[in-house]
Amino acid sequence: MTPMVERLSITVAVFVVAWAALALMKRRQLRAANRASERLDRARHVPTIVYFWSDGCSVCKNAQRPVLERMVAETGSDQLAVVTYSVDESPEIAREWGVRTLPTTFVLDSTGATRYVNNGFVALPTLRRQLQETATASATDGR
Amino acid sequence: MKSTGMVDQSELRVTAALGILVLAAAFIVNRWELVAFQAGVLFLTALRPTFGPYIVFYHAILQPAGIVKPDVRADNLEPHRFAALFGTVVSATAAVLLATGSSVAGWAFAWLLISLAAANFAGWCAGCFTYYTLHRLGLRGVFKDAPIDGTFPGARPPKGQ
Repeated sequence: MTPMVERLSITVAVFVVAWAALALMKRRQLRAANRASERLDRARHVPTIVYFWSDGCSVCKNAQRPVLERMVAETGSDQLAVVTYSVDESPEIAREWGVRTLPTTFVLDSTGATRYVNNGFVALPTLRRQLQETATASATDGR
Repeated sequence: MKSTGMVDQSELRVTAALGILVLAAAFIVNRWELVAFQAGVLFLTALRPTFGPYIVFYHAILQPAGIVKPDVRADNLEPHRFAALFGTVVSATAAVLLATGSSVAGWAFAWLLISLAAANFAGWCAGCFTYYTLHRLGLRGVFKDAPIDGTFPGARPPKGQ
């Protein structure tokens, strides 16, 4: 193999491995979240946001919480449930859900299946889009 | 917290994508000159973003041809200039190391820059994060801008804010 082909192979391999690692991490986290969501006490069958935060996370308090509050105000508390966990108080629950960073939000459809995982801060337009797509997907699945 | 203006996020994405391409090509053909070229591009971008060769290419070719659409959002320009300066230092270090025969260390710096550019392309600017961290630590004479409201430091601001 010529050095150039060797280097091209290394480059392609690095990109493929990085992409595969990210995809695998996301898949494992979704699987963990789906297992954990089965144990979630959901009184109402509405889309749910499961939100993990901690006392030391300023982005959680100053940015993520206001976004969630606005989302609930927009959607209506009868149409959207938000389940909040502090990782300081419930570290084992955070582990079960596969939380790696704070804040983390999981978007569940009305059947309890996890549709989206947001590692880190998620902005209002993204969350709005995810909930709309979750509602559309639930309606399609229910047909 | 205030926003100092509007920034076309497509300029940032194009700069990151072309940077990745150039550095990957430099590694494949084993030429430190391409890494030095990247350092020059980033230096011009830091000096004055409108001089940035990739940004000029975007406005002259990619945008008129409809290949990349503008994506203008409320954002601070200064952190992105700081990030370009940070990239200049890393790529210049890589180029010097490679030119002087320290190939492993040189390519390590180049790959570090590729991963930072990939993160930038995906929506998180490490240089901007450093800028905002320095701002928070009180170095406000130079690092005067705070993150856009409701945005994680260094993350791409949401649309429509």
